[in-house]
Amino acid sequence: MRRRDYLGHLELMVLLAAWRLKPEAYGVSIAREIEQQCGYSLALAGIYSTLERLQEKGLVRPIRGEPTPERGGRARTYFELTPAGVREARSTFGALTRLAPKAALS
Amino acid sequence: MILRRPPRIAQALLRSLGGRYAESLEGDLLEEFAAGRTRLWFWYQVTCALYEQAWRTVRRQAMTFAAAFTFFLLALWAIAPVTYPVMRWARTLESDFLVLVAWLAGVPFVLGSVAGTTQRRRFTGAILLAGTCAYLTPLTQPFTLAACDLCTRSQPSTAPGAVLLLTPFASALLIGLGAWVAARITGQSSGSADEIA
Repeated sequence: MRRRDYLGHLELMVLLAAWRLKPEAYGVSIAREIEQQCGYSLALAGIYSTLERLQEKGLVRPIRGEPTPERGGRARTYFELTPAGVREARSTFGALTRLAPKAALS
Repeated sequence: MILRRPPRIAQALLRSLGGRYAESLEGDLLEEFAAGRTRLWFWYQVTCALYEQAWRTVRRQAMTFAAAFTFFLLALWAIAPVTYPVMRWARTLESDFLVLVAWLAGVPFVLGSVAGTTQRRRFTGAILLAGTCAYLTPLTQPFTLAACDLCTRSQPSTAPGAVLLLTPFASALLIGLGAWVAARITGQSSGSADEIA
């Protein structure tokens, strides 16, 4: 039987943030969104590490942007959810919502 | 007018060891730095990136490191008689400094070949790594001397077994660390451009 790869807390947050920011989801914007909405200040390396894991699971897809001078000629890498990523985000978020007691949702 | 420049050493470290998204991360850091972030913040982010990458590599290569160390210990006992001549040669040298130079001179070449192998064939890489460790052991005399001096203030011949065991462990650890650095550098080109749409 194949072991199911469950999403971790951080993975779910990054996945939802990337979905919410589409099509402008890249390292800085995802970190900023999580900080604004959840109050967690995350290192950019942590965001990229999580995105790399999500990519390996087939839940996000990287898209290379154009290099810009303010970034020292480095291109942005945008991330968008794959159909499997959308399904996984819905499934995990739905499971958490169903599991939560009413007090936690109010 | 004072020009703000991002820390170059941090950038170079990130480019060399930062992993698959090092370029994108560097761009993000430069973008934030231009928007007013400090050099300290830049260094903090790079340190986090190196830590993430190191931890990730250790987790992925855990079996390789474990196998390498096991083979190292076995090979040490098996190949010890072969390495005695090297040991004798090392002891004929006038100073420990020359032994250290001889040790260091061989390391980059050995690490390069080992790292190239471990990238694709972990088991073969582990055997090679163990053999390399065993071969280099006679040349680790400076480590033994330093460890004995530091821990027991005694000569190696009278040092407790634990201290003498520390030497192969230290050399295995150093070579493993070096192999990781070399693997990061040699593996840097793969996995970025070809996987990004």
